Amino acid sequence: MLKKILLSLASISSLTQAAELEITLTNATQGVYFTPVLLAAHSTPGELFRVGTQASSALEALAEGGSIDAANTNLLNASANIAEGAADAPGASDGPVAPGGSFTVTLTTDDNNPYLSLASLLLPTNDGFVGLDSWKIPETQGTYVINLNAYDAGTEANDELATSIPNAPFVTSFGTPGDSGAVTSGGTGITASGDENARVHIHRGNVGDLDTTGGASDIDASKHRWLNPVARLVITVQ
Amino acid sequence: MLTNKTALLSSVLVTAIITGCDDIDNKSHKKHGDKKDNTEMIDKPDSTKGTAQTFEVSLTNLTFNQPLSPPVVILHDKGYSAFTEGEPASVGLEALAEGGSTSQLINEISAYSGTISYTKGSMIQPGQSITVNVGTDLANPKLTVVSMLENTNDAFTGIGSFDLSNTSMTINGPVWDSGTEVNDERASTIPGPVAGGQGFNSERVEAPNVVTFHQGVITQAGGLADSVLNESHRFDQPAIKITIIKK
Repeated sequence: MLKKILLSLASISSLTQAAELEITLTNATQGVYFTPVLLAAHSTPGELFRVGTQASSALEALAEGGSIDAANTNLLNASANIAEGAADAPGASDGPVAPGGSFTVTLTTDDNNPYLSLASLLLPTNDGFVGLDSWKIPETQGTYVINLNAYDAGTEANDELATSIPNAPFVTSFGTPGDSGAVTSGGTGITASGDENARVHIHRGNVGDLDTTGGASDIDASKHRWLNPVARLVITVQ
Repeated sequence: MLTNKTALLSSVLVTAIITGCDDIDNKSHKKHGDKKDNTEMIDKPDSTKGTAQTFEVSLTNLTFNQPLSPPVVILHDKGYSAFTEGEPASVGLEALAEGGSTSQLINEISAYSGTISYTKGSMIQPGQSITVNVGTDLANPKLTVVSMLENTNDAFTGIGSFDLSNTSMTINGPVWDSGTEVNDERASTIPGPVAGGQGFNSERVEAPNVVTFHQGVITQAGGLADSVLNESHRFDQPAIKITIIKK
């Protein structure tokens, strides 16, 4: 009992101390892939993205093409702590995260990095991403569960055409077109999408269709749709 | 004359302290103003309530193409409720959710016998944010925010009776259906810019006629040929980000 009290006192007093985090991310969608996940602790809100503001070019590259390089560089230059997986593969997730899949990673944060953010392109989408927007890491030890939403970077029209969605190797390798995930082709494009909201916002979802050789969308309506939340994040502050 | 002037000046200063400098259209202080004097509220705090405090509430529209109607931001005691899931909407909420009109809801607020104050904000376009200040003399007020998704039949977003004991925080508001109008997605019944149809109609749907979470809209892209909505009007939860800062 005394130990517990001492422990909690210690955690209260460690307001600006470094934190030891164990983080598990689960892809809770039925048929949407996450590209390599960028996960970092940083000093001020919005360093990776902020809803209601325009996406940085680094976020645009991440949300349209799945590339975390530019965002990684920006965060490193800002003295952020970036989570790395055990293997020599990109992102905290050591590569993509399949529907229903999960990964666990540890992250040691420095004194002045109290915010946690995460981003990963959702495939297949034009510029949709799963995100955690500058969550304040609690000073109290414990396990915290956060449901994550799908955001739209606001940088690309959601035409849902194969030609404007990254054709990542893992997307083409995990199934035959129209079957277990890969986008099809021959669509005419979802119309009416302008720039009504060119800032980061909640993604309105894919429309999709069931036509593998035509129709409006190249996305499979039976597999590539979702409702928020799209992921579950479990964070243990040790 | 001089005395009056000084009194006036100090009253203005006190108001500025309470509300901050970027106060827009803050009706709560008009309400307090009915009691004539804000100074008294500060100098002699009512021990059963709290000292006067002001909250800065920032609202961000998270949708792609759903303008949010002028929101009403309300601080109130636990006796007030703008809506309850599973219960019928008040006429004030119905008018807001169907037509974006705030006047009847504000009438209901004014008629409430407990402690309540509110600020009405301006319309929020997709991706845009507004900030309002609202004052209260409650020690632990509840926060309610309501605003219509204009390109819908009767969808609204916000938050109901949220406890503000932990003063500064950010929360997201889901999309509710007021349950007062059929979701036919037709031009004649949707008041927003996509259609310009009818807003408030006092006639109620027979069932369910209760506030629930929204089922989403069916658009032309979803196969409803006479829907006035296109795919850009679809939305997912949540629709509004609410950031609360105790001043």
